[in-house]
Amino acid sequence: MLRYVILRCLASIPTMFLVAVTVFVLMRLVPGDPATLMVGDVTQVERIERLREEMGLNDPLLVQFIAWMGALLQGDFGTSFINGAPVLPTLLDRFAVTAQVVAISVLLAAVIAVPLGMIAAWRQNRSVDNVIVTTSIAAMSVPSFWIGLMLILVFGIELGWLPSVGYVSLTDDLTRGIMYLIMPVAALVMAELGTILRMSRAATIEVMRLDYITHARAKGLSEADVLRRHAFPNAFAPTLTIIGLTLGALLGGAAVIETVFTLPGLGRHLIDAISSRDYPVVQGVMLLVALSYILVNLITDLLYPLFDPRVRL
Amino acid sequence: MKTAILQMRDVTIAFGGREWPTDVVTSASLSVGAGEFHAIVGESGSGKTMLARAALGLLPPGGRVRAGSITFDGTELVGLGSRSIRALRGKKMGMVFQDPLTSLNPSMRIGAQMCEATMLHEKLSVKDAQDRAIDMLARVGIPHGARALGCYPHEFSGGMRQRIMIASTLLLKPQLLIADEPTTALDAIVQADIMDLIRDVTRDLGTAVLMISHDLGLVADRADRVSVMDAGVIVEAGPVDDILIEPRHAKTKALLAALPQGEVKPPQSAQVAPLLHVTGAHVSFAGRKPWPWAKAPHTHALRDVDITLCPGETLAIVGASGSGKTTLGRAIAGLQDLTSGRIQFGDADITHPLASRRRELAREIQIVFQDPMGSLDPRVRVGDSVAEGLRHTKTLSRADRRKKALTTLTACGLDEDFAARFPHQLSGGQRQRVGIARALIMQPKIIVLDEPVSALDVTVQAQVLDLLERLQRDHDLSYIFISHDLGVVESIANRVMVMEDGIVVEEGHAAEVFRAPQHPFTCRLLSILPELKPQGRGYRLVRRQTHLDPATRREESPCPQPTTA
Amino acid sequence: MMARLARLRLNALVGGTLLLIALIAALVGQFAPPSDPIKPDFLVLLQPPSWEHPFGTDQFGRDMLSRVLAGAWVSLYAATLTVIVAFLLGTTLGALAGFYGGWIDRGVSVVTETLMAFPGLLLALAIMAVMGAGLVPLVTALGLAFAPSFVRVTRALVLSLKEKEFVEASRALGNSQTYTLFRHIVPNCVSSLSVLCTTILALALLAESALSFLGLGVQPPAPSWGGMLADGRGVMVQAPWMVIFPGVAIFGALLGINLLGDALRDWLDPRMEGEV
Repeated sequence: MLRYVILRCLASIPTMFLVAVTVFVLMRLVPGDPATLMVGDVTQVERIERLREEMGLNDPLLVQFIAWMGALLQGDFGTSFINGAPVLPTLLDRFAVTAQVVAISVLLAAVIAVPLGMIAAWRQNRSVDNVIVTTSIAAMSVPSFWIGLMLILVFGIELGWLPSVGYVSLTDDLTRGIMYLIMPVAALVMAELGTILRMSRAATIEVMRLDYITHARAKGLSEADVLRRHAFPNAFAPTLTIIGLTLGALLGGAAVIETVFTLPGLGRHLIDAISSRDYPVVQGVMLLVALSYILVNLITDLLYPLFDPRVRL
Repeated sequence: MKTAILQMRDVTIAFGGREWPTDVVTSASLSVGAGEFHAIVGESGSGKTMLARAALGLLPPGGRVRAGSITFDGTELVGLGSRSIRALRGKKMGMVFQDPLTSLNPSMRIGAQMCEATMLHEKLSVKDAQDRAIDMLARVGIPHGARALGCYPHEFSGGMRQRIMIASTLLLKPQLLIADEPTTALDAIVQADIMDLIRDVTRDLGTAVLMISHDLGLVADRADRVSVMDAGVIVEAGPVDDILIEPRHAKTKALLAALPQGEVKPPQSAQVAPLLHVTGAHVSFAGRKPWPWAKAPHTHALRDVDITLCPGETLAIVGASGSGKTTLGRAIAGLQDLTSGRIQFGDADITHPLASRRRELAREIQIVFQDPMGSLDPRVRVGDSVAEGLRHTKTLSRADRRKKALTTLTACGLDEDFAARFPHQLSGGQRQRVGIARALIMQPKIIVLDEPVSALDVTVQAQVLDLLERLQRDHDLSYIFISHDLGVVESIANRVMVMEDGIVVEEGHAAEVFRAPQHPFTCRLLSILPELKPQGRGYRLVRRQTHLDPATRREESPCPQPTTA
Repeated sequence: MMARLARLRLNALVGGTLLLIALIAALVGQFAPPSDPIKPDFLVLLQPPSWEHPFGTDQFGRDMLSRVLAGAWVSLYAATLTVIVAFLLGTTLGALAGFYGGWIDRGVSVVTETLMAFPGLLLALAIMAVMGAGLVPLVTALGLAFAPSFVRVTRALVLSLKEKEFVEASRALGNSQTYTLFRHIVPNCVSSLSVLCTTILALALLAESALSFLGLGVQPPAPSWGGMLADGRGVMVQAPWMVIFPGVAIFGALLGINLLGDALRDWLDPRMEGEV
């Protein structure tokens, strides 16, 4: 077991390194010269040249990469082109907002979808199953940002029950914070429900046809016990992986929902940075999101053996 | 007769909707007395599993008892509510399944799975339930039960898992144990052990057994009564002895005829140059590295094996799973590289055939696989599968190839209209015939038969073996016949090689090996073979009596101890 | 069982119809829109739905119906191209990696694992940050982002098929590796990959509209459903039709693809065959 944990942790190090390489290379592919972008005026040749020298842009790429990695490892993500402030502190603030929304949404989606998927599988091809599956397909087909807009239109504008845009931190004011979170979370839950539900259903169907389920029934266990004790742990392992992937994907993909509800999250920060060509910020967001994604996957993989002890690395 | 514990009267089981039901079991009646060992014998698809499952109310979705009555200990089960039937399940009736690899929950420790039922039905405390489980594990031959309780199923071999399964089912001392082909997925020796175990333990506990099997030889001397099923109907039933002495129905006779007859082929008489010569064959596989920087451990599948095969001869290679017999067969067929050693075909060295030579070699050595489903491409029609090997014979036109494929199919006992079918439309035996045709069409000199009948019902096994013998005569073939069961090779082998742990432990003419085995493992393999001995008007079934007899000992070969890798 | 068949048939029917409507809409929008979807008409700004403009008009006076129809073309075109790019790239690499193993496999694995370390839209966003907005960057970015799924599935399929005895039998018959790959392995991958194609098509359509919504996809004034939602967002209170109709269009197209994919998945599931 310990061997599995150590090996799995070690295995994520090369991936992190490759991610850093990819981000570095991508940012060097950006058309235009960073120094020129920073100065913002092509005519000031001398100033640009001085800046290039300062930023190490005249060094060989490898030297630049090593310097860049060294800075990263010390927590230096560079400074913004736009306001000259260090990138990292803002990133972490923004990340907290995104993480909050995403974690609540995925947790909620999983709590709803996993049992529903199991019930659908248990009643496979009966009417309950058909209703659940068809509803989940419909839910999967609604774009989260559109449902967000519709929610704003109905509950924010027409009914005026909920604040439509903006954000209050849960730690500042719990009730108001929740009010602001309801709609974004609802939109995300709806969008992610389908994927998790289908995985849960498929995995349960896979498990339900195996002999140990019949064996459990032959022992006289009730259907609820068969599902809870025998089907759930085995069907949940693959579902857990999907939940982890969804969680990670949303960390970087919540940009649309954040735009719809004007949440000060990481995704919107990235979009703003892309449109203002603030590449140090783009680079910082990519690194941070990719690293947290790798981390989330690592954690789900480490949880996996709890449900499937056969796993090996 | 003792009082019947399970009584089935005119049970008809149907699948499909109310309007168009398909009966899979028609009007079947049987009764199992208390403590009796009752076997239902029949081929796959005969409805024997459905009949047994109906007793537990565990028919697959879509199945139902359409007519008839099933009483257990005086309670009518047909139409009984799910709560009441659950109270019987496990406590009064237990079930053991065919595939021990899927019948235990992989994510639960053995202890939790075993204690679940006792805690549910008898409200035992965890401690008491565990003690009961440990006792029962000891009875089924698993010492250190306390440690076993903390393990997961994947830490045990197939045979061990089946023992655990049996222990777990018998924990509640049910009045009836239903066993659905509990040994079919296991090696021959393990099969016999598990069968004996079931008989002995249930006899001690006074549990009745309803055993389902396709192999009359396996159950005949363990069962009290036998019901023979064919196409959903019980065609013959009675005490085992009566059935053996006077089988009335054709199906019963076919099942009896499929048993090994105790006749052995003579060795090849004429001394001819060997066709195939394998010397010092060694195969090792790199295992998983425990750490990325560690050296990969090597497992040795074959250690220094020598073989010669003469033209027209059948060499049987017998061993348990993991003995290296399949690796050897694959190496000969050119599907597995040797780590060291040499393979000679006639005068040519074919140890490492070049790509160009491999094609030539395909005309000389062919292979037939075990799994008749997996060995045919599900998306290619049977005729095309058979004709595929002729692709490289440029002289043949498309029509010629087609014609040749049809003749070969016919030679293998399949009508020409099979050519247009897909593999999933064929039965297991038919698929295996296609596999044989695909090899035969190349007109090879040698065919490696890798467990060609292990996945088939015994009656079908006999038919396929007959086919193989006929083809050998007609086409002058040499066979390398790989099997885990000595009984299968008895009628077909000229010579027998027994393997254990990648080493040949015994080799000799079939007559000698069957008459006077030299190695303890061969004795074990022989001792489980059923044999029909004439008695009075009919037959009596006996197990071979074998022991190592120093007087008949042939030239002794030192048995090298396997070195640990 | 009957319920399953009924659902399968209904799903295929409804899904097919929806997709057909989307296709017709795309063709009409591209070749014969009711009115020009791009040219502004300042006389009819923000008109609610009427006989003349069934979907209303936007803040430039353009007919929303024409824009939704034209958007169908843009969105389906971009999504289909994305799937083609991802499919060609992914299956080729996946098949090579699975079949030949060795250093090819290791190389492909490293590349896919790195690409997959960027979740969801992030990789596409990064590529678009480098390449700028527009259709070509969009298709490249999404194609690259979805290719790893094809690599993974193809590689796994090929690896499992390679172990099958019928592939061994093909080797034993003296067939070349290439013949074995194309005769026995590729045909057996088709059904799984076609299901994956429908899944990715839906995801690509969703991603395209999301990126266009963020202003990074197809550039205005060219109509795309996501872009229209972004346009309508600011005037949502006065002109709700501007966010309702493009959204319904996306929903309809996605529902069609997903229903058809579900029916396909059920229909191709080999375990369903021969079951009573």
